Amino acid sequence: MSCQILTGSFVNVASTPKFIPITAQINEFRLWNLTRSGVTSQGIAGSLTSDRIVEAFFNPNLMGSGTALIKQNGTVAGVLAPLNNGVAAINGMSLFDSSIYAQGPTIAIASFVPGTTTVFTTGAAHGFRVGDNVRIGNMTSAPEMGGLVMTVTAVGSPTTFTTLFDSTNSLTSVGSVFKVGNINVQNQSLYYPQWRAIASISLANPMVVTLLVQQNYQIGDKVRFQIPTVFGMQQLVSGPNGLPIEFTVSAVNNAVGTQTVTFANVDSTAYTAFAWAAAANYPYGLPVMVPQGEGNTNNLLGVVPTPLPYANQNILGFATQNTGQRGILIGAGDGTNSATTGGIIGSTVDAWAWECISSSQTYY
Amino acid sequence: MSGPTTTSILPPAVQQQLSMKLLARPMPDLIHTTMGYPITMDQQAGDILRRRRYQNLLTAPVPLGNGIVDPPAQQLTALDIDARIDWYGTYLILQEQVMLINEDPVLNSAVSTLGQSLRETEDQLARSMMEGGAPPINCTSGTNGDNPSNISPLDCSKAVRLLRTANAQFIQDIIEGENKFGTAPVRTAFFGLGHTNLSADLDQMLGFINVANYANNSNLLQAEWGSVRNIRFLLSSVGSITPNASANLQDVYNIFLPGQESYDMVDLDGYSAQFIYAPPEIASPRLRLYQTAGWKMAQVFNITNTSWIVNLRCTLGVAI
Repeated sequence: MSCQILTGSFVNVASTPKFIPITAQINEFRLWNLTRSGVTSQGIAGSLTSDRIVEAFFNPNLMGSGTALIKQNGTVAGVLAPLNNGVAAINGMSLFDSSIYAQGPTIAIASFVPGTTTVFTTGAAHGFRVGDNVRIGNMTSAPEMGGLVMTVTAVGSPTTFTTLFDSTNSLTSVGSVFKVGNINVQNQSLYYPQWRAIASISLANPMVVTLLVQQNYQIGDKVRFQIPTVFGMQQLVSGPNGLPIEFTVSAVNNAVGTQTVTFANVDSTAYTAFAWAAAANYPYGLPVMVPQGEGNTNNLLGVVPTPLPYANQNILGFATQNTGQRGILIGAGDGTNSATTGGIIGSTVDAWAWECISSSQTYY
Repeated sequence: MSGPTTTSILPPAVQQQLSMKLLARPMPDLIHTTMGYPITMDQQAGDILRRRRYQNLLTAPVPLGNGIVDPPAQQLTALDIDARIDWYGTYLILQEQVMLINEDPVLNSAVSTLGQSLRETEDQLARSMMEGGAPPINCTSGTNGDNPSNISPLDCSKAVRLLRTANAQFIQDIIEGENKFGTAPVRTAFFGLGHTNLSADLDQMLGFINVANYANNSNLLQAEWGSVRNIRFLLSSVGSITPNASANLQDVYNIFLPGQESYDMVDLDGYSAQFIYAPPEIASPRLRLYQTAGWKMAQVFNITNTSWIVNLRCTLGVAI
């Protein structure tokens, strides 16, 4: 039995929290911002910067989740900066375990603007980021939206956010919203791939399906559709014999805000239109796209199969796998310990080094 | 000193005796692995198991006629279903002094709790896989005003209809009626795997038959609660719940209805469940201060036909 010290480094994405998967028990975690300390590393030029967090320490047994003991640069003078000691009260560090359900605080929805995408306005600052998955509920005059999870595709202001939900047929409503996850970390269900609720389906050739929640699809993945009749487009659900129909994905755009899957061999031009049902049809089931398995790209229009002639060999996009992880989440904000806008990772792209101590025995 | 000798004067040298009959631990019914189709993957053959299902051919109802021209040939196609195994494990470090001082045989309990941990992990993995992959249908015929609503007999019928239309095969045969007071026949059935919190809602349902009222209860599973329409319900305290997920932000209860061969339980040859014990001379060779015991397994659960399994989602009609 021995104490383990794990080390690593990364370059952050601007204003984006960083998750570091660590299987070992985390007793202490230390973090250094090399770039803002003036150190050139990992291809990022050092730039000693005033008023930025450059060191952070987290002990999950002694400190609150989401906080950190930090050292923040004072005003730079020449090639040195004084260090100020303090606490990051928000967007510090926290342990993460995919198998444990985590839910953010409930925020009141004041209204939304019906449209092909939906802009929600909250009564207070929501704190969401692009890529967060949020659940909507208690929608008084739009109950059909209740319970849905959607990926935040844009944050217009501290009290507005956008999702791909097509609310054309809905009436604006008050309600509630809370965060249930982020596209970068697996949810409580652990396994990939998962079924996804449909935001919209085009009447076009090829047919394009937009999903409410981002998922990483791959060309050649095979899916089927389960759509309650009130949503229309029953042509996708089953054939004349009642059996489910399967479709092979020919193109994907997994980017947050796009979240589309294209089917080159499907011409939906003459299909019944798909539309989210109105409140009058409440309650009803979810229209979902269900992963089915791996297909063969040899017969897909516009797709060059590789390697020929066995175009199913490298298609593993829907291989069922447990993508759950344990580790530490480093929060993002403005790079300072501000109580309202702070966060360890700032709006710049910086190089970081970290050290994790996994103790064999802890004394209190 | 004179007077009576009471226990105040002469207390027992040791006041307690540890009963060697240890208290029972809570053990949930592990219902999610019971319907899995067990399959073993070879060692040294990669970490992804591919399974294949051929697609049905079209029928050929048109007569060939009396010519010599062949009708069009059909193409044989298949769907590949992949799953990647992962490794799981946990362990205990037992200090030597713990073993020497405690009155009960600690290692025995350690082995027992590790075994339970392994089986509960398996069950949780199967449940998680179904939560993510089993296509959802909402109960909508209940009366609680939520979406999904509380479960109703009609919702059960709709779920069974969906499965049967996709040619999913029932798990259980019919229980024929017998000439016994208070009993009823039970239909051929899929098993519904749900949470014990649903028991009161099921009891309230029109047409619900408790297991006590089955005409024949010789082949019951411990977790079985009763049946409605073509579903026999297995309830467990570790049944699936999605917190705050209904339209009114109430907990949603996921009832999984797997048909025959709808999901695999894949393990690695020789690695399905390993108990690993390192005695002090191995774990701590210098002073033999501690020993370790743990389990490890390589496994993956995988839905092999999403048309043959359904997640019937509902909320509670009877508040907790």
